[in-house]
Amino acid sequence: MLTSSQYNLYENSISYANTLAGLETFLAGFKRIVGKFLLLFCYYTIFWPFVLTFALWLNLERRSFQKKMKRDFKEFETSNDYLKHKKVLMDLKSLEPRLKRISNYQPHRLPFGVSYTLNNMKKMTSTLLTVISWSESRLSSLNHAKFASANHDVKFVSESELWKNRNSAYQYWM
Amino acid sequence: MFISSFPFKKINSQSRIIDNVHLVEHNYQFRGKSNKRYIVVCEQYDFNVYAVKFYAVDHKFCANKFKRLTGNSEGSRIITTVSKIMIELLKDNPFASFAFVGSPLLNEEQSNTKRFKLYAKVVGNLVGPIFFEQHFDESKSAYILLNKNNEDKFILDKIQALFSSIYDL
Repeated sequence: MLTSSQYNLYENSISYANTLAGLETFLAGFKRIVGKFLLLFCYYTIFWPFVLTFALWLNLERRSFQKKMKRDFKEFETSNDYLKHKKVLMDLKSLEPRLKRISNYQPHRLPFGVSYTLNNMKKMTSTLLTVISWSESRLSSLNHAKFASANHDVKFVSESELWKNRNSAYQYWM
Repeated sequence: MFISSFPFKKINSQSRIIDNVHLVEHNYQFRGKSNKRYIVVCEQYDFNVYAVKFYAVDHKFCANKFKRLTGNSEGSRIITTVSKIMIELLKDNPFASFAFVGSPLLNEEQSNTKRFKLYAKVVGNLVGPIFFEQHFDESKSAYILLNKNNEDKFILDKIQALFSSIYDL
């Protein structure tokens, strides 16, 4: 089974990615409906305390998450670890295009409060994109044969091939 | 499919020497749903590699006992039972690697046999990439699960050389 720290790391990365992707969709939609100037007006009159509080929270969360990331990325111990890892990676990959849109933001042209918030969103997004790349590289050892053969008739079945041909209804025996 | 198995029991383990190669045969038996008896032979060679074979007792004295079909439509439960035996061997020996050949039917070529296709599919679905590295040789219908606890990087060539000296594949 997954250790609780690893489980938290996966759960947190999915939660943060969902939050940021949701926020990106909300901001893009709201901007499209009310326009940029009305959006800024709403920010300065109503939303700024909440947005700044969110930015501060995101900043603190990112710092603690980065520490956990360094510590909690470990080797797979069981097949369940692997299955959980694959599921989280697939969820994160599905959110990746929306996260990449956040990393294309240009917050330096905006007023301080907004730019601070967007900068923190960008930094968190960059951290999550790092989690995705680390998660992918964690699988790379399974895609390269540890035991080589001089006989070219003997073919290695990589993790990606096994996953592609796998019926997910089955549980791994070993 | 591939969930329920038949209860099995170990018959014995016996040492043998074939063509100057020392091996230990671990013999198991189980009864199918029609009370037909099956024998599973797990031959343990050097490098902790086990060659897994099974046949119906009815065919014990046939020259082609591994090539015959029983026609009892209990293949998935038989394969599940054989896998359970492999798991038991793995508990005893955490360095165990497994090799098997999909024997051709009586009118079939040796390469890419029906049994090989079935075993490869089952193993691909039910054995994860964490503990075993999977290799196959389609021309010989052979499949090997190499235990990743093994640190010898050239074990695959050694196992091939070993089997080439024993089996006429």
